[in-house]
Amino acid sequence: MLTYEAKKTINACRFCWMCRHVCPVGVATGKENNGPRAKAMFLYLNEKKGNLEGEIAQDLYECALCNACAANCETGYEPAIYIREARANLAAGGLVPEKVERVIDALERTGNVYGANIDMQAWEKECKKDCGVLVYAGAAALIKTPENVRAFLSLLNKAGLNASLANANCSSVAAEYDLLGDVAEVREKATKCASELSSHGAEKLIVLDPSDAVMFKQKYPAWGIRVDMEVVTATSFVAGLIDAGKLNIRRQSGHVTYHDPCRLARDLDETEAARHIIAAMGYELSEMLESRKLTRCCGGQVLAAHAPEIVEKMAASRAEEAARTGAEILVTACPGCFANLDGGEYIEVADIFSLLDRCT
Amino acid sequence: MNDFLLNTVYFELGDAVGRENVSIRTADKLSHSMDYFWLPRMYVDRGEFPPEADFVVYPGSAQEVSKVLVIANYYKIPVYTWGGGSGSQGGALPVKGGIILDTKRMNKVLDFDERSMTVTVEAGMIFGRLEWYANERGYSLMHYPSSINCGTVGGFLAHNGIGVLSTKYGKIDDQCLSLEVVVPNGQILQTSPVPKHSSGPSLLGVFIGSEGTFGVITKATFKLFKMPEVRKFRAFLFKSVTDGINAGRDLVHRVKPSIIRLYDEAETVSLIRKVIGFAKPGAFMNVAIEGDADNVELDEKHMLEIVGKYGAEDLGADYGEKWWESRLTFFYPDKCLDFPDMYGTIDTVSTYSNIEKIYDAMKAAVESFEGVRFIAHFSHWYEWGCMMYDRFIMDNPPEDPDEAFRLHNEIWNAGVRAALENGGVINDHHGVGIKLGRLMKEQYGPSMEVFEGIKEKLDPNGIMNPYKMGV
Repeated sequence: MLTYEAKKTINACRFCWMCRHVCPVGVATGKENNGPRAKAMFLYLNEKKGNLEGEIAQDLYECALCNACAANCETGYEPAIYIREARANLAAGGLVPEKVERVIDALERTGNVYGANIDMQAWEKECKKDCGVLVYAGAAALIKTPENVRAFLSLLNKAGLNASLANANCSSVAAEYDLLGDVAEVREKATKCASELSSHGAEKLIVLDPSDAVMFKQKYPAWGIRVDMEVVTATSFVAGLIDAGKLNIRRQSGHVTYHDPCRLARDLDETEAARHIIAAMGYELSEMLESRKLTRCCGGQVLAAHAPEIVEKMAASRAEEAARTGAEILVTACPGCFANLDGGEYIEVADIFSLLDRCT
Repeated sequence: MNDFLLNTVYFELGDAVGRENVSIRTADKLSHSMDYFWLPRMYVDRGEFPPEADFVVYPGSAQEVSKVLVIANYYKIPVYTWGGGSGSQGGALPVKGGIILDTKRMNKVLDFDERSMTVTVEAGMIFGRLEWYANERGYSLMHYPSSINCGTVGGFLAHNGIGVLSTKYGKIDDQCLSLEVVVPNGQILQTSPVPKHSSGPSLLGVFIGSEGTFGVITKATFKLFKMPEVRKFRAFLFKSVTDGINAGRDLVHRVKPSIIRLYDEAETVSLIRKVIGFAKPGAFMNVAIEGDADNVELDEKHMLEIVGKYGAEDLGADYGEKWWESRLTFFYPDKCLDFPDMYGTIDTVSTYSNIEKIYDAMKAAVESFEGVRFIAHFSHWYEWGCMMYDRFIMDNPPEDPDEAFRLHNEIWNAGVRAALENGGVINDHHGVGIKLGRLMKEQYGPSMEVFEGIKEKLDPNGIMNPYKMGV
């Protein structure tokens, strides 16, 4: 069953291709089904005729939920609404494709899409305790880019702050929400996570991964779930440290471009903090045409977990665009983006906090 | 097609382009069964499936396209080239089953030659992304149709499309220098390296506008333009469409604007209220002039002299600037024509002497159907004539798909015949497709033999886009 809002959006999108040029999946794969129109057409016909859900399940998961389509829609429709609802229906009906099911199993088993165990005790040894700030690194950062987490903690230390790392075993609600939609099970996980975080008694929660920040800052309040502390993105927190003169930065020479993480730029409306950090380091910044709210998603970690072949294409396409600016380094501010973009053939990729740590 | 043959061809296609680039999934076939044509949309709207292909193939190069065509030619299976599926004439629809050849994996810019001011690109690239690529370097292709976000380079060439700046920068056939085309026997053909020559007739002209009935366009080279220093808008209200058309002709000859859009009285009624705040009869015109600032200043002086001669009222720049910013807005959901209405754009082009006769005849023909209304504007202006972009709209079409189908085609026949009988053509810039193929012989008569001869030579088995363009 789909809600009225989902059906209304499906009706709008079923005959419309106007966001095709900004869909990062479609642009990278060239596949007709990788975009909102095909999905809306399928769901419309499924409502009318039935029995299509199993046929179209794979297509409904081949989307990064990055909202480029919604940001481009001049009428303001949000295809993610029906895509999330359809995924919830597929999960309820046991029609989730096998490769996605494996990721959901991993999430349930370990709390992250990688199915990896995170040794929080080892991480805690790397942190100072009993401090005013709590860092939520998130599973992607702890598992895929641990060196960037260390660089971030080092930065906080240099700024005179003792940071504690939040327990990442609190399941990745962002990934659950993307894979299963807005269902009771996801809200329960969110409630548990909020309670664990609140028990730390910190004043501030600094969130490294923009996908998690969207959850804490937008979805939790919408679900009536409270995290008893101020939630800040890592980029805006560090930009604040720079403004407060807490970091002694050696200015660099060099030419960089910046990849706006889609959830930071579009969902959280934060585009300038990272640019402020880059300017403070002294780098020359060349912008890609698809920047700020027009940024192009590099795939995210959820899609990468079940469709790595698609995300590889998305990341390569984005890195190639970055290289066209003439920059030497592509700077990212999201662990998931770094994990996707790093190691490609087009341009060197650097995490913004690691870069800053190296020049402080 | 029986299962045995289906599996045989499926295997061969996978061998040619990679197994991951061929599909027989329902979802892939379904998404390629509907374009912007009202009839397949009506099927979907009513919960029916439009005709589907048997295979969807995504080749990654001209060589792979060649292999696909050789297989299709051997088995005599139809091939429908699919770019963005944003055509309004049913040009890419797989009406006879067979192979959908989706070009969107072929999406790379191959050469950007700033010295010659040209760009060479694979045909499956979304045109808007090509424009962005040029913009990054300070250039533009100056081809801005409403489908720029969703249509491909090859799609625009296949139906010989046009953009809103055409009056200064031309149609896509004026902007394209050369093409690579794969024909059914698998040969990869090149047109001449440049479009202007005395080395035989234009091969470019054979393939641009041929709607995938002769071969598959895989690569194209286009002109690049520098972004203009200034683009200025000005709106005017003429007492009549006749005054507006005469002024438009004079503007083309003396000023060469990039945009001239002249609206008929019916469209002016709804537009003018938004511009000046109250209703006023007449014909509304929006003009853009562009280039270096000093030239534009002189153009503006001449423009005001010309419109003054025809007694137009000057309505300033605001409307045009807003229109430019929101020129694509009218094609998004809730802003564009949509179901439950039945609608169609019977655009045509003719000389200045004939265009008003066509307007009158088409309006009368279309409005003879009960409950159908007609609106029009004139844009894309040439030294000798202009295009009429008209629309018929019916608020409550029959619910029964077959009845709606018949009525739809009756209205189109009446509208197009009104154009043909008064010196117009079947279509200006959307193409022919399956929608209007039946009327091609009415326009061309015995001249159709030229197209049929080319078809027979290049595609003896008739596999390329059957039932389209009347060949």
